[in-house]
Amino acid sequence: MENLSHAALIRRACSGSDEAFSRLVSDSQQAVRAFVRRLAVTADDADDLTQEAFVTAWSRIDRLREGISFRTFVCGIAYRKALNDRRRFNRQVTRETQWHALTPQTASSTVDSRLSVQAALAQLPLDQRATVSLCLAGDYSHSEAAEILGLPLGTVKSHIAKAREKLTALLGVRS
Amino acid sequence: MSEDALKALLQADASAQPPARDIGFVIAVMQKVERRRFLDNLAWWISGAAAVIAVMGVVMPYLAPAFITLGDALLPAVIILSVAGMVAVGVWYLRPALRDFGIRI
Repeated sequence: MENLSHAALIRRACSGSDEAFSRLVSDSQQAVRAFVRRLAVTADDADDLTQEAFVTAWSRIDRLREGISFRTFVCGIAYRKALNDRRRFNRQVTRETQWHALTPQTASSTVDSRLSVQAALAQLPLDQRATVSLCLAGDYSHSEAAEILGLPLGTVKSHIAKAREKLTALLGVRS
Repeated sequence: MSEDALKALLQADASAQPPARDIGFVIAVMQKVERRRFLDNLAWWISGAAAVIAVMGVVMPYLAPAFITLGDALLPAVIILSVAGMVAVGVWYLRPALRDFGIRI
């Protein structure tokens, strides 16, 4: 099992080998967790979401197409879960905002010129944040990012360009 | 800021970087996989049992009288077959002893 390629591990996992699947999880967890941590609110939320994504990948591993890496497959699942989480979160925030509408709120400060990277990323829409996380913070190619996010290649490139522009402004560093 | 500088800044963000090897995380995933497998199997068995019960509920009112009639008709044959079976099993276990009497079966 030690020297098997990922393709062989995927074949074994498809035929029900838990050992092969746990090797795949072990080898790809860092990349998937790093991607999800840039999308989720907290690291704990991100790890829970990543674990759920791996469980879904286990139940759907027979749908993994040839030529697609395991981490790309899991990142795609994790991204869709993150999108659903975000929608739920937005609905909850809307309800809470309506509830607290009568209470005077202190206005949150506008974006500081020296925001942390995480805070700057949090200012981006989720699809732009995801493309940046994959292609700039991670080592994914544009086509892999398009596969993961289910977007056309041109849209991915446009997201990266827009996100780069916003991040440059938010992080307050002159070109 | 050049693209490479932005890239370096994003990649240097340690808070987003989990460890390369994390056995605790792998164990947590495999525990959830095992739980999912158990729930899948449970759902499968429950739905299978429910389907069998539903089919029996529909079919048995028609089949039960037929079984009773058939049972009455087959009773002598069942008795004969049971006795023959018991004799066959008895003879099978008595073979070593019968061999001493020169009877080979």
